[in-house]
Amino acid sequence: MKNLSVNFQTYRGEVKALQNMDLEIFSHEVLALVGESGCGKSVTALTILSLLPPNGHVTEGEILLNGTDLLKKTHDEMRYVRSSEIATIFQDPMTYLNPVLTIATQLKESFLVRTDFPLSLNQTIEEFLATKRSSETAKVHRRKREDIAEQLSVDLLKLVRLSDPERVMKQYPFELSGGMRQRCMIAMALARRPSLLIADEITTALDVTIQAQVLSLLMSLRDTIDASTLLITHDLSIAAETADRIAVMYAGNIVEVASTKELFRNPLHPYTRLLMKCIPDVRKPKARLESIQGNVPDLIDPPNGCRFSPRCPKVMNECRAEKPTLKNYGKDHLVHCFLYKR
Amino acid sequence: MKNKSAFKSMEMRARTADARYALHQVRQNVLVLAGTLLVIFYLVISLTANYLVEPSLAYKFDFAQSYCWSNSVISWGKNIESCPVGTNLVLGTDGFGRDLLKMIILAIPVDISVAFIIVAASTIFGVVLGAVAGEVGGKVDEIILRITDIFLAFPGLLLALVFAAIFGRTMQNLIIAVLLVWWPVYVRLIRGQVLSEKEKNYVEALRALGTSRVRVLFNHIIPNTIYPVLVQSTLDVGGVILTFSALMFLGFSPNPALPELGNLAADGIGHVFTAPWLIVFPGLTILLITLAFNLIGDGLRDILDPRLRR
Amino acid sequence: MTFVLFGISLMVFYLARGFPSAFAPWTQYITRKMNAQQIQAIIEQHGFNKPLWEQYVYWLRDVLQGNWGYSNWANGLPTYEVFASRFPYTVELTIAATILIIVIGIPLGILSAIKNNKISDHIARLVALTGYSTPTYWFAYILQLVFFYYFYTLGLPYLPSSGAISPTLAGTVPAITGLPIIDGILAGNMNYTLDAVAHVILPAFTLSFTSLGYLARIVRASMLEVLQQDYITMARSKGLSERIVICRHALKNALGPAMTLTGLFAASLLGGAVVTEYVFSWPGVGDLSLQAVFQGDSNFLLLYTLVTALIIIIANLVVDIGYAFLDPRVKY
Repeated sequence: MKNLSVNFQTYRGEVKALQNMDLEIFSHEVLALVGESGCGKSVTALTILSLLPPNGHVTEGEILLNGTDLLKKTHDEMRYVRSSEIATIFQDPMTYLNPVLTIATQLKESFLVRTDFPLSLNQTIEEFLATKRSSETAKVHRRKREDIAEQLSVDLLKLVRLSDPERVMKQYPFELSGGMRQRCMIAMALARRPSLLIADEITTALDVTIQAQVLSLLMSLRDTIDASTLLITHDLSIAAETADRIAVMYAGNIVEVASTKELFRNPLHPYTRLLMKCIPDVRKPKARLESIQGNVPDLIDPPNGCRFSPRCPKVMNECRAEKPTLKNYGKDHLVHCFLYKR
Repeated sequence: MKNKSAFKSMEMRARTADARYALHQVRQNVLVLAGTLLVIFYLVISLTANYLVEPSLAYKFDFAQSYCWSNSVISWGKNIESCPVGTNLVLGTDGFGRDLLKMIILAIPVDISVAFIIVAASTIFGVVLGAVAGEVGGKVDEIILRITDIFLAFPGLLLALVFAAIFGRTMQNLIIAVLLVWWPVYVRLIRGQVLSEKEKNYVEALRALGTSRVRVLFNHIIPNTIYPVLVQSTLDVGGVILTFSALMFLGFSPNPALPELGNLAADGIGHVFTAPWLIVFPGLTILLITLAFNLIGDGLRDILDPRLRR
Repeated sequence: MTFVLFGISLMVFYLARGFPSAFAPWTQYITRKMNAQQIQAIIEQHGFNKPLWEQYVYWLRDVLQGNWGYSNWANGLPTYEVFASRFPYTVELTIAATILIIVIGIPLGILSAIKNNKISDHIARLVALTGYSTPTYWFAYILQLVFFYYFYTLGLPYLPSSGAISPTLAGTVPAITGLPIIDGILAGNMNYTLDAVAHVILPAFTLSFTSLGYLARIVRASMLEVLQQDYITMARSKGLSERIVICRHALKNALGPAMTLTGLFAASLLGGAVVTEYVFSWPGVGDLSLQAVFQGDSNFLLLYTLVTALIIIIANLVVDIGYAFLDPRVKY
């Protein structure tokens, strides 16, 4: 993603949701996009998919996937991309699953949406997921394709650790628990064998024990699927557990990007530092809970210059005037802050 | 006391914000604008009808000139020989030999004012009854609900017909007849709204402050639930005109010469193929008036629907 | 439910007999052939010399025995027979109109929702609203004028403007169900069936035109709400074609309220076809009810309103059950 800006037209004015965002994900890595609610994380995901609501517009920038700019693709081309290159797991499995269709229908269509499809059932599900593009693209009879999809669905449900997958297939979303629904969503995403998996706050709607299970599932699947993962979350601790690199976001800007170890060892941006301080330390149960003073800026009329300047403890004059540009602090640690002028 | 006025000013601010947003939507919606223009047009005509056309013309009959339509363009009708050639009858003459266009102009205020009366009366009556039913609950609610159900189960036009047939064809009776058909909808509407509003927190807060139930009902609950009623009323104006004119059309008018759109159309029943304009033009007018009100009502419904707000 | 039926019967009864009218109330139960003594006997038998509320009890007893009196203005046949002989025609008209409403109204609503706020949406809404604002009788006559009169004078094939079947063909097919189209199909007589279809087109279209706007509106509102839901975004993110998203994911969720409405509509159409039947001389029950009002035949009106109310109640139940099919979350 290079220099991406997204605006929303609303009744009260233009919301500058994303501003000149730069982000890079390498293959096979897990990149966590961390930020508080309302900073634009989900907007990022939707923009990548070209699924912005009608009042959202990309005003500048490009999103490159393996070299081609996604923003320049036609509607049908984008559909192809969504069906085989990028898959998303959304936040609330209750509302993101169609209540009147069975799991079977919704899962099978994830398989059937691609035209290249294995001719027979001679692969295990792991092999299936590993081969991104099937070489056998002959015309398979529709009934046969559905049967194959059915079998693959059952296998896939087993893979995401759902017991009794045949039964789950016949059920409706409201008959399943939250954790089970989220696993179905994961299965639907995996079925498309994407190169990029976007997980948008997938644990937010779950309670903590289920959270842990889902995360461990994702981690175990990392090896089976051949994809990079964009993990969007507001919880730094989840990012710490699962991500290779972390990108910190604030009010529509990326403020810092580094590998996980590096970020925790040496947080550079004032915002990142304050975030780390906010995490309560289990070793000090009686310590005061920290918070960052001030409020998230109104994105219709954002502050000039660095958007964090009103709340920054280390704010300088130039912060208010100009936007800080990216500085590479070495060891692939990127920061947008005037404190680090090199 | 201070609490109440602070409360009220909060409410006022919320409502003006709502109103401004609604106006913004109206400006964007072509159909609603068109409807508003049409309504204004017809209201102006109704208000000035008596100046445009001399009202006593309604009772000047000239049977020699009936059922013909002749002007510089068209020449049509069974009495065409006796119909003076070269007259400028825009829309032809009716069964009494009156100029149809003039009669239509005279009829518009009659229809619109009757519709307003009926809608206003049934709204007030239905809202009060429904609010009481929702608020008081229990046996009273049951009784009111059952009575409303009975009225609703009647096929609309028939109820009005029966009533009119029995009680005679005066204007008042006809108005009451149509009223009987329309009031139950409001009872149901308001009752549902009141029931759900009652559960809201501000009602509890008001009661805790010591406001009497009646005041809570009329000063707070009803204004907050007024939107669907507004929408329904606007749509009903059109519906009432349709029903009322249908009654007239079927032969229930108090006076066969009364300038009223359905009545004028009734003239043409036996002459559909020889003098079609008698049915076509009054009916067209009814259509346009009803359409105008329906456009506004429909647009209002979209605008005021909280679920579709952006 | 029964309370409603009772209430209706009470109300109509009171309206019919509680007020002076041009016709003596017992004309309902006498045939022309009776002499004064027999008439007096009838008066006593049916309680006409008793106070009003007692009369109601007598009436109830009569009705439960199946005696609805005679309709002297309709060939003097028993009221019940008069009603039953005409009822199937109204049913045929209603079914035809309902089919038209569904076939035209639902796609119109869907189109409106998909192309929200574009030109097609505005046109669709205008059409729907116009239909809703049209006076039934006016539309009926216009249709007659154009498709019957003008087509005829212009030498085009025209649609008949009155009746349910051409007089020449009437009675040529055994009346099993009483609905001309069905009877024609059952008898294998294509000529008859086609003639019946030709006759039903104009009245059914009139009846449906005024109602399909309402259905289109409900479908539109429902679809719009559904299309904003998260699971539609999810379906789109799977890369599914828009057509599948709408047909498979959106429709099933959106059609619930529409179904409820159609069911109730069909039931009320049964009652409300009065004007249409009148204009098209359609031999149905609505047309008769109009005459019944003028003739003061209260029993006929009672029968009519009670049957209509009963059908609406049944329709409500059927619709509720049908709703459970569409939405698996609803349990019975």
